[in-house]
Amino acid sequence: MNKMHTLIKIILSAIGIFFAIRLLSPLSLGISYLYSKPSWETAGAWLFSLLLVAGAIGLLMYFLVYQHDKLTKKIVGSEQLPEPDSQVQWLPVALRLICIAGGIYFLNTVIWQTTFFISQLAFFKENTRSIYTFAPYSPRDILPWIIMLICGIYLLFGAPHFVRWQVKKTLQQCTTSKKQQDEDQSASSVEI
Amino acid sequence: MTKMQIIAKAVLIFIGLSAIANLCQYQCALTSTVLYGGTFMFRTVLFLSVFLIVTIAIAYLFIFKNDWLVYKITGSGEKLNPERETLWLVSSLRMVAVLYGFLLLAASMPTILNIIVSPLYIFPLINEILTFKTFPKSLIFTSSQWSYMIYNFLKAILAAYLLYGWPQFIRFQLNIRKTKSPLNQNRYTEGIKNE
Repeated sequence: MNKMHTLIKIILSAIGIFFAIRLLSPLSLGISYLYSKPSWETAGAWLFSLLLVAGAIGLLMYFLVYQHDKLTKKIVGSEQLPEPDSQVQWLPVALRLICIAGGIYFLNTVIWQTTFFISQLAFFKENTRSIYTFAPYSPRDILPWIIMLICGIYLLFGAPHFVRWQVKKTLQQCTTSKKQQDEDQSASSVEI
Repeated sequence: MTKMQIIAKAVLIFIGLSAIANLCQYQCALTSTVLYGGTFMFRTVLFLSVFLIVTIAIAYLFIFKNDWLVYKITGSGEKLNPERETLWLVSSLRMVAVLYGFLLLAASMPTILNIIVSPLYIFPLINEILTFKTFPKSLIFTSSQWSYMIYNFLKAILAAYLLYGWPQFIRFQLNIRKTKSPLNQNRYTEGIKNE
């Protein structure tokens, strides 16, 4: 274990706790529904949404807070690394962490949208009572959330292609800048 | 620049970006009110101009010329050598761009999908216009819808650009640093002396 592992563990725990609290924020709205004597459909939808949120929080806490050792090793790439003295070692690790945070943010949004979708379905079922058969959502409305779910899962797994591409581009930009700097220096020495 | 100064710069840019995105959302709501007209128009225009000035000020002070704020926050310290400084600056700015790009992308996913599928809707509409010589009713939007559509479109473009790595801005920041480097400053002072 080195400084990098410790720092990543702290960041992972922080990400887990932050998103767990963020997921809990619509809970007050759900409790207010219960006070308004809801129908069986609404109560069922609320209970299902609550279970979904609780499951997501449980997974977050398990993987990012209690079992963060395995995840840290996967993010860093190997168990024992020398103390990082150059940015190049940090860059893919930091980008991977950002991707994981982004993935959780995506999935968080999808979970919120799913609970909203379930509550809408329950609301329509409760109010229309088989008079209308149309769904409150069309496939076109659901498609962005499906794509977001796929993107979220990809990012959660560290987005290896994206990270590799970003690292390559960053190093390219640094090399270009260094070349320019060298050219400037040589031009100034010629002037002198 | 020191490591702390570069980190402070990245954090300030992140704050600036998020502040601008939020302010633009308010401006969008206000613009729709102006386009709608009404008795509160003068007050709305006043608010809009104040919001616009604040947005420009934030963009200037937090994103483009944030060095004075960075030095005030972090003070002085051990400077990095030019090579490492470039690496730190490029990496930290790129990380900020990717992180904020993800946040914007999550919010603008429906817009991006709408842009992708727009040719499927545009060609039948063009056909309708050419055949019946009338403007389709489905293209008539309210002022509020227009302003939000433009805002979402710009947000989607910004998300894509940030995820691409924000190369122009990073190059601009590197150029600023280059003009402030001791070599260039010496050349500048030598030039003044010669004059």
